[in-house]
Amino acid sequence: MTTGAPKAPPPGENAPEDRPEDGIAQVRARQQERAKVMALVLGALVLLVYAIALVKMEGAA
Amino acid sequence: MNSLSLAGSRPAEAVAIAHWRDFVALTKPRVLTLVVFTGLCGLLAAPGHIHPVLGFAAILCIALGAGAAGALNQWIEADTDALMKRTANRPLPAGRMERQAALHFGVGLASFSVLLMGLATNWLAAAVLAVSILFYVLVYTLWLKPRTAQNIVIGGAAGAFPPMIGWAAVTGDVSALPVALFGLIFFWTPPHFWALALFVRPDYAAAGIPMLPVVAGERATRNQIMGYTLIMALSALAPVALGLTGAVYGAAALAATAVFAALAFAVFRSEETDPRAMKAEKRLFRYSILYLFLMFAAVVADRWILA
Repeated sequence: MTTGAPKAPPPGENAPEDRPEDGIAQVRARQQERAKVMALVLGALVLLVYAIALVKMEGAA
Repeated sequence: MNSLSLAGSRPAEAVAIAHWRDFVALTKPRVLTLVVFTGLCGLLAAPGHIHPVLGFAAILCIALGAGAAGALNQWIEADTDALMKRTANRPLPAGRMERQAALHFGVGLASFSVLLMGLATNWLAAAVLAVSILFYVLVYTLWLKPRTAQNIVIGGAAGAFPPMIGWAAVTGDVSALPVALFGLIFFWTPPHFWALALFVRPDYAAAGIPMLPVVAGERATRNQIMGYTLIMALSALAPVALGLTGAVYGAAALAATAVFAALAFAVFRSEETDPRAMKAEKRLFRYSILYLFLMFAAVVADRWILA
């Protein structure tokens, strides 16, 4: 039978959810990755809209 | 959510910063394949010429519009998705994304796709795209799906729009052939979905979704699969009978539809009640996807070969 406070896990064996700094690092990594993907998508869309405008202007001329 | 506000908070909140792949998953990419393909075939089969850049933009808009509808569908159904094994790992029920992010993503994508379609091609194509998104979200997901076992019969119309949109993007109008192709997908949807519903029936029952096998039983579902397959067969052959397509489509439609009917007949005859042992149903479901690819490829081949 055990009594008293629960035994603390040995150093370095904490579950990730018990370490706030890991959560923040994960959030930052995801934000960076999302920002890169968003930049790529926006860049591609700018090119597409530019190409559409060129084609439309050619058609109108 | 600002990452800085997370300092010192429970990391459980961190999962609310969704990965970009979760946004892709929100668009139901596997469903998109069929939508894009049928839209592309509508565009390629249409008489006339469209600049490749505008054609690409039109197909992209169809994909984005369908993706937006899928995202809004998942936003609405997050609670019921959590109850089904097949959908429990989607970003919202799995807790990998905030609901509001999914809503903003869906509405933003839908608006952008309609606007870009109008600017790149014409406003008729944009209007049909808008109607298809609204039909899927409001009529199918919100109204029909939770209320009636015939949900996918009427709701199937939402998936039938892409060839019409592709056609309208090129011609600026909607004529008999795209309407016939709309009919083909419309009548294909019930046997396709009910074959799936038969072998995932426990999931639908657990989520309280009134799919036909859940409310009317397996025998009624098998009968309806056969009935709708016959109507679908007539719809598949209608373009040839009406002179809208030629012999290439006619031969392909006859062969592919005969196989579909044979597989549907096997489902009709089957008495299997164990979802895990439903081989005929799984075979029909898998073939139904291939069938639609074959039929639309045949429409394009017919147009291009006979031209």
